[in-house]
Amino acid sequence: MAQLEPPICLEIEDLGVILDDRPVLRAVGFQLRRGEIVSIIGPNGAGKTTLFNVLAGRIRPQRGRIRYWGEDIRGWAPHRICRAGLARTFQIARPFAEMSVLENVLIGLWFGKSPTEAVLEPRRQALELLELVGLTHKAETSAGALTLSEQRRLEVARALSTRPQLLLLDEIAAGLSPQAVNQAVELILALRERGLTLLVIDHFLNLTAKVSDRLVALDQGEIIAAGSPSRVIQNPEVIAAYLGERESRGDEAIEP
Amino acid sequence: MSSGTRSIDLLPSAGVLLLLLGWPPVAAPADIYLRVFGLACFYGALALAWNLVALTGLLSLGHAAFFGMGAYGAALADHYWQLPPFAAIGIGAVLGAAYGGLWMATFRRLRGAAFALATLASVEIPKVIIDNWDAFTFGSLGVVGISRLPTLDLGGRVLDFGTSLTAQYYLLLLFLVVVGGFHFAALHSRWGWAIRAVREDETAAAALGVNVPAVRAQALLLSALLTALGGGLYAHLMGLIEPPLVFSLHLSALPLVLTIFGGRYRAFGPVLGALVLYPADQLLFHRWLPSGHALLYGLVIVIALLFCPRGIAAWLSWNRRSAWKSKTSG
Ligand SMILES: Nc1ncnc2c1ncn2[C@@H]1O[C@H](COP(=O)(O)OP(=O)(O)O)[C@@H](O)[C@H]1O
Ligand SMILES: [Mg+2]
Repeated sequence: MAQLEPPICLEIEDLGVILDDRPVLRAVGFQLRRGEIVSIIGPNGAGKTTLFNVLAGRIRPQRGRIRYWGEDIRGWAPHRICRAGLARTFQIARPFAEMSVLENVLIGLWFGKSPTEAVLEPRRQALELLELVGLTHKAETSAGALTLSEQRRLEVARALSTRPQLLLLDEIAAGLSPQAVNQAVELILALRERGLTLLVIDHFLNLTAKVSDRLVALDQGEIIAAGSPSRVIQNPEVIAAYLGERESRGDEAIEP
Repeated sequence: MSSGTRSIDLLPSAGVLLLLLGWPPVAAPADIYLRVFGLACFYGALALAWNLVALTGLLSLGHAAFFGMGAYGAALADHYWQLPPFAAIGIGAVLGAAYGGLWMATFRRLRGAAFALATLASVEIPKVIIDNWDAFTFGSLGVVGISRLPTLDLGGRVLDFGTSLTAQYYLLLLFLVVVGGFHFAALHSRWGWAIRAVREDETAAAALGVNVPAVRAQALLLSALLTALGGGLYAHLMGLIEPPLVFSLHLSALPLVLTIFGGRYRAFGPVLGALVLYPADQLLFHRWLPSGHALLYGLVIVIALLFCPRGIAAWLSWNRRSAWKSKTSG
């Protein structure tokens, strides 16, 4: 061995999820090493968000194993997983609408680790996170009044406020302008520089090529391809899956 | 944090409260005022206790269950074991909290209307059992001859809780202050932020590290315990209880009315509701329409929800202008 590889951060094996008597994830397995950026792609309904819900403890898988830094976290409650350093954003943003933007971030700072742990200068830390996602000027606005793309940035700031080691981002660049997509790319690369490991859902493939080390393509709950971005994107099965989506939706694959 | 605006908001509320509370003993120590304002404090405390659950985003219509369990626990402990009144009240409080634990286990997944209906129905279970278990609870006859509260000698100042209306007034005021302390913490502390996050979006709260089941459990158990404590106090103050009296819908609904009228999200909201509405009902409304409580409270709820959904405490807040602005511009 010429080089020592970074340790495995997340290892998923043979994951199976059934919702409403329908298999939504089947035999899904892959792993992430520390500092990697892996993107999950696939057509709508492939099971990408469900995978995040399972990893974050919101949905209990019927079978399989999830190891985070070697520890089996299957069946852990969401808050416990968060406190262990695994944070996620929600594809459909869930701001605390009646709190200010700053207060939204403070919640993560206070509760994201042990609830008794002292938080040094929470307000300053919260403002730094808002600066990172470009929401400083909205700090005192009530979160319910944010635009959709601002709400998504708040999702990222809030997830970061829990001081994670592994961050799951669910379609944070969907429907953004090219300029805003570039900002998202820079943010992701900056987070990696800080030592984070990232798992990114990227249905529209607008982040993938620029940031991912590897891709995992899901279709109907199964992994149909995995590996380097260029190889996976050109994989005929992946192309067929995306084309199939387009046909079934009458060529209207672009969401708002 | 908006603690700046909050502390300003405390001043006028506290001022109004002191005015109302200081009034009876100082200005008009007539029995009727002591009675009415003592009970206003009592119902204010029950409203504060009820609101602990409401602050987590769940509306209970069944707090009479805790009240009744507390009253019967205390009354029966007094009757069978001749425990000192305050010990008997403690037993009642624990019994009420245990029933809260049962709610927690069985209603864990219920939200919104389903939770409210389940709590409403859950009052009937202990009520029917107590109503029919004649040998132990005396059934519909109720428990009579419950011991009076003791007399306390505080270094020369004698407080006869058993017979003196003034002493009883101060006891109920103390009850209000104690429950108010917990209620204040449920709004203005780190725990309070967890409660607020749970109320606004429990899924997001859990994803940010808030232990949602624990926060809900703490609020519900504390609420049940304090409400049952009220039930035990009531039993010993009145000297007799019967099932329809302490397991009444009125007791479940009153805290809701007082809280919504006073202000759900303010430390003093529920108290303000109690100190305004209860005396208004007893001293003014009662004269014209002796059995019209339900009508008055029903009207109050409708009017409050239509015109002042955040309660009258919101009027007293300094920042109401900015709140109004952000609402209209948003
Ligand atoms: N809570 C749920 N109950 C039942 N079915 C669900 C649930 N969540 C997702 N699904 C189904 O699982 C499939 C995958 O959904 P999702 O993971 O959201 O896909 P993606 O994020 O890849 O678009 C869809 O067919 C969806 O209808
Ligand atoms: Mg999705």
